[in-house]
Amino acid sequence: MSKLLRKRRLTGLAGSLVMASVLALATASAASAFSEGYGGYEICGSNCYVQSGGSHTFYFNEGSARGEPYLACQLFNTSHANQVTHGYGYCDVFYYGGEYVTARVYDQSGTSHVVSGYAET
Amino acid sequence: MKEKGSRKSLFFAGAVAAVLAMSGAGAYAAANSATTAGPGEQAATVAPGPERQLRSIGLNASEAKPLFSLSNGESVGLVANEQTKCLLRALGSKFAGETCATLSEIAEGHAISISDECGSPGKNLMEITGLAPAGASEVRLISSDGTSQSTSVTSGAFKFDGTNPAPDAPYPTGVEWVSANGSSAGTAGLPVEGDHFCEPTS
Repeated sequence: MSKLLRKRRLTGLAGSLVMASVLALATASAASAFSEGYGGYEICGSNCYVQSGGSHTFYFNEGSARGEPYLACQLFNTSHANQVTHGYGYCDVFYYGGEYVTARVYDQSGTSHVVSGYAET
Repeated sequence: MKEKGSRKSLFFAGAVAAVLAMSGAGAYAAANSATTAGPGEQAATVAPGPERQLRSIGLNASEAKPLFSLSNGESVGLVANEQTKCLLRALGSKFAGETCATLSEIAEGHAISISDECGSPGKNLMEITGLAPAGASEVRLISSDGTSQSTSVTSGAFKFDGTNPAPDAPYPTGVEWVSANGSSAGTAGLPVEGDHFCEPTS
């Protein structure tokens, strides 16, 4: 009897953990419909860039690298959206136009760096 | 035997939860963690997303002191602790950017950001905002043709409202800090390679 109760407790706990994970994911997706980390590899410093896998209704894009290289963050499309922000080692750019845009991070430092980008809708 | 099966379920569920927790933002932050803390590395200590620098420092945007407005409609505020200052931009109630730097980074002139509106239907506005080193009361923006324009420092911060340089036209290259007695207190470059203020859309 006690073994049966213990087994049920363990099974119940396992179910609770899975449910908690599902709820956490559902909450995360409700807060941010889509997000994408991209880049994370070395690029040249003469305006080379890392780019998101596709276009989405991104409103936020950020870039980062070790040290303080000149970075430029961009959200753009081929119609008329094109926002760019420059910073040292970190940059962020916002676009509230609601259009599909692509996200990029450029290295303008003159030397190679590992550059990472992250964008979300 | 059945109890072992239940334990396996528990361990499996735990592993699934751990993997899920590590996916996405958590994995991105972990992948970007580093030992020497520049602005990017400091930000990478927390999950990516808006207000990342603020979150990594433990500052709150709601505590920012309003400083000035920009031509693009954004308002700029300042929030700080003993080691770090953050210049925040907002468009109405929406967060629109952050520039955080330690006092030593500010002294090096590495607390300047430039926002360029490069889209075709826009006003082609360029906003240069930043934090000035202690002792600077004025900032001179130096152009590639040797000309300059000046602005005053407000609560340690400054702004230049302008437009993106046209192709082959003179463009800003750096700033000079000017002390209250009019003497130069040093110079700093802008975080831009040459005249690459706007970037292509192809």
